[in-house]
Amino acid sequence: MSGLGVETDRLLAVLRAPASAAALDAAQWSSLVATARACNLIGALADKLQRHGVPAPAAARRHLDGALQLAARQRLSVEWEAHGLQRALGALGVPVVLLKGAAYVMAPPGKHGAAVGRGRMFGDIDVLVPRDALGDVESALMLDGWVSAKADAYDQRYYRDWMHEIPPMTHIRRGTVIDVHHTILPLTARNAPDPAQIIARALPVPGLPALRVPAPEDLLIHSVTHLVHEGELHNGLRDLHDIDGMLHGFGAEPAFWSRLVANAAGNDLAGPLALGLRLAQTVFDSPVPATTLATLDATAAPRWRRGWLPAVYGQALRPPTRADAGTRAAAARSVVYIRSHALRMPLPMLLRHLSVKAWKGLSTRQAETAPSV
Amino acid sequence: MLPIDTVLHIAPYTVRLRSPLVGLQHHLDTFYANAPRGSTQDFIDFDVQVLPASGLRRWWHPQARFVLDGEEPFFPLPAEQAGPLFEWGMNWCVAQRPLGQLVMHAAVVALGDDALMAPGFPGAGKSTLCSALVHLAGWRLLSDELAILDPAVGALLPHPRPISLKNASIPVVQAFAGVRLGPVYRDTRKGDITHAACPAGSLCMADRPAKVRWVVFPRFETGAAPHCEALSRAEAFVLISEQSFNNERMGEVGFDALCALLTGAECFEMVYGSTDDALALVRQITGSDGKGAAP
Amino acid sequence: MLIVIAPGRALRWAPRWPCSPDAVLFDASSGDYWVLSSEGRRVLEWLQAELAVERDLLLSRLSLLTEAAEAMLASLGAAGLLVAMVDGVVTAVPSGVAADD
Repeated sequence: MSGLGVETDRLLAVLRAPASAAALDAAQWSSLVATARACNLIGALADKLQRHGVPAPAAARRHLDGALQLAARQRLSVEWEAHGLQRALGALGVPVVLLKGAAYVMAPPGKHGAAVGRGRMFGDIDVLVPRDALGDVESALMLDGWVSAKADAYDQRYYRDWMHEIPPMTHIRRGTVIDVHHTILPLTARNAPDPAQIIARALPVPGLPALRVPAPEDLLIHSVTHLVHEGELHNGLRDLHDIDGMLHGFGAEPAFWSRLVANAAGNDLAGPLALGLRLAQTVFDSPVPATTLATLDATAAPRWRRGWLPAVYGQALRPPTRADAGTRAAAARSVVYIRSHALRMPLPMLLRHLSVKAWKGLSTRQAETAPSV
Repeated sequence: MLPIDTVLHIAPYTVRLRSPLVGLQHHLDTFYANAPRGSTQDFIDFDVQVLPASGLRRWWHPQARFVLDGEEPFFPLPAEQAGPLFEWGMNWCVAQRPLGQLVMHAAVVALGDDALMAPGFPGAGKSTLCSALVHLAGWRLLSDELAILDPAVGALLPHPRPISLKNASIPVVQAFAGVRLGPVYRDTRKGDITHAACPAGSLCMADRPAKVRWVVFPRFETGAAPHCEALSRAEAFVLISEQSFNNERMGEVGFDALCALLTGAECFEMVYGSTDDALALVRQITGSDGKGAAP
Repeated sequence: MLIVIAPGRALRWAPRWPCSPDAVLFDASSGDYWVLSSEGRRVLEWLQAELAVERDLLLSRLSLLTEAAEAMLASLGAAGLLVAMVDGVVTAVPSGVAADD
C-alpha cells in the first residue's frame, strides 16, 4: 500500500494487477472509475483492463469505453497539431522538439516503447526550441493564427522574465494551447537540464522534418524534474504513471540506464531524478535497478536526500477532489507548492508572486457568470 | 428537515444527489417524486452535490454551488435557485461526460418509437414547441434539451426531466391543458424561469429508445405565416454540428452515427407564429393526426 | 506545381444523400468538416485516388471557367484541405495565375 488513501490505493492495485478488478462489486467499480477520473488515469485504467481482458459491468464500461474513445480522438488531435507545427514552422529551419504528451504520441514507432501514453488524455502542446529562435518561432506562430493567451502585463513579465517560456499561445480557430519553451526549468532554478543537449540528442519524427522528440533518457529526466519541481500536483499521479510507462518501455534496453545516469550527473539532476524514481517505485512498483539509484545517490546534493521528501510528495499526489484545508494531503500540497516555487525563485520574489497570485485568484472568483445551459 | 442523500435513476443514468438545501428538496418533490430510486450500492454515473457556498455567502445572500465528483463547473447561484441550478448542472453533466454517446443540443419527442428531433440553441422556441407536442398532441418526451444518440443502436435514448421554460414561453405553456408547472423563478440570469413536469406516460417509456424520422429546425417569429421547407441532409448536418460541437470535437464514431441518423430522417425548417400553427405544421410533416391520447 | 490533400488529414465522406448536390466531408484527425459542391467533390476524390495532380491538369479537367476553377482550388486551400507543392516544398494553393513552374 502506498498510503495515498483507500480509493487511490485500490486504483493503484488494479493498475498493478488488473485481473483483481473482476472481484469488485458495483459500488467499488463506481469508486474505482471516479478515482481514476479524478487522477486523470481513467483512460489508462480502461486500457489496462481492456488489454488484460478483464470484464467490467456494463454501467462501468460506458465510462471506460468513453474514456478510451476520447483518448483516441485526442491522440489524433495531437498528430494533427504536429502537422500544424510543421506547416507553421517548417520554413524556419529550426529544430522544434515536442515534449511530454506530444512526444509520446509522435515518437517513432518501436523506438520508445509503446507502453507510454496508452489511454492518456492530452491537453496543451509543449515544445522546446533554441533560445535564439524564440522570437522567430513566436512570430511564425502568430502568422499561423496563434495568439498570446495571457493579456495581463504582470503575467507577461512573470512568464518572460522569470519562467522558462513565452506566455502560452492559443490557436484562434482550434482553441489548442501551445507552450513554447527555450529551457526546461526557469532560469532562476538551481537544477536545470541543458536544453542545447536535449535538442542535440533529439530524434527525428518520421514525415515531419521540422519536429523532433527527445531521446528516451531526456524524456524521462524531463518528466521527473517537471514532477518534483511542479508547484501544483494536480496531475502528479498521472505524470508518475507516465514515468512508470517510460521505465517499463525504455528500461528494457540496458544502455538506457547508463545514459540516464550520465545525463543526470552532467546536469546536476541526480537528486531530483533519484527522488522521482523512488516515488515511481513506491507507487507503481516501477522497475529501477538498485545500482542506478546508488550511483545517483552518490552524486546528489544533500538537500535532495532529506528523508521526509518522498513522504511529502507521496501525500501530495492524492487526487485533490475533497478539498479540505485540514487534511494532511492539503497541507502536503501547500508544502510542495511553496517548495517548488522556492526552487524556482528567490524568497522575496516568491512571496510577492504568491501574494499577487492569491489576490488575483480572489478577484476572479468573485466575478459571476451564469452557467451555460 | 434531513439533508438530501438519494440515488435517482434518471434514464439512462444513475445519479447520486446530496444536498442540505430546502429549495432543492421542494424541486425533487415536485419533479422527481416518481423517479425510480437506487442505492449507493449501484454504479453511480454522476455523483452530484448541491452545496451552500462557504464563508460569508453561506448566510449573506446565500448561494448554492453545483458540484460534480468534487468539481465545480460554474459559479454559484442564489440558494433559492437550487432547482434550476440542478437542471442546468445535469445538462452540463450529460453534455460533457464521454460515455460513448453523441449528445446534441435538441429537443426530442416521439410517437411510439419514431422520434422528432428539434435542434436549436437554448431559447430558440424549441421548449415551447416541445411542451406543445407533449401536452397537446400526445407525443412522448425524451428530452427538452439533450438528444442522446447511442451509436450501437442508432437511436436516441430517453432522458426524461422537467422541461425548462423561459420568459415569454411561460404564460403560453401555463395555458396548456394537463401541464404541471413548478414555481417561477424571477430575475435569474436567464430572465424568468420555470419547469414543466415530465408527463407520467413519458416516464414509463424511459427505457424505449426512438429512431429519428424527422429533424425539424423550429423558428418562432411573431406574426409569421406558417410554412415549412425541406432542408438537405448536408444543411442539417452543418446546423446540428454548429450547435452541438463547439467545445468538444466530433470523432469518427460520432460522425458515422450522425450520418446514419440523417440518412434515416427527413429534414425541415419550420416557421410559425403560434402554437396552433406549429402543431399543424408538425402534423403536416409527420403525417400524424395529432389526436393521440395525452400521456 | 502539384496539388495534394493537406498532409495529416484523414478524410471521410458522408453518404451520398439523394436530392442533394452537396457533399459533406469530415476529417477524423481534427474533427473539421466541410460542405463541398459537386465539382469540389470531384477534385477531392481525384486527389484521394491519385495523391498528387499537376495544377494545370486539375484546372483543365474541371467544368468551370479557368478563373472560377482557380478560385475554387484556392478556396479549398484556404479551407485547409489542399496544399501546393513545388520541388518538394509545401506552399499555399495560389489564387491567381500561377508563375511559370
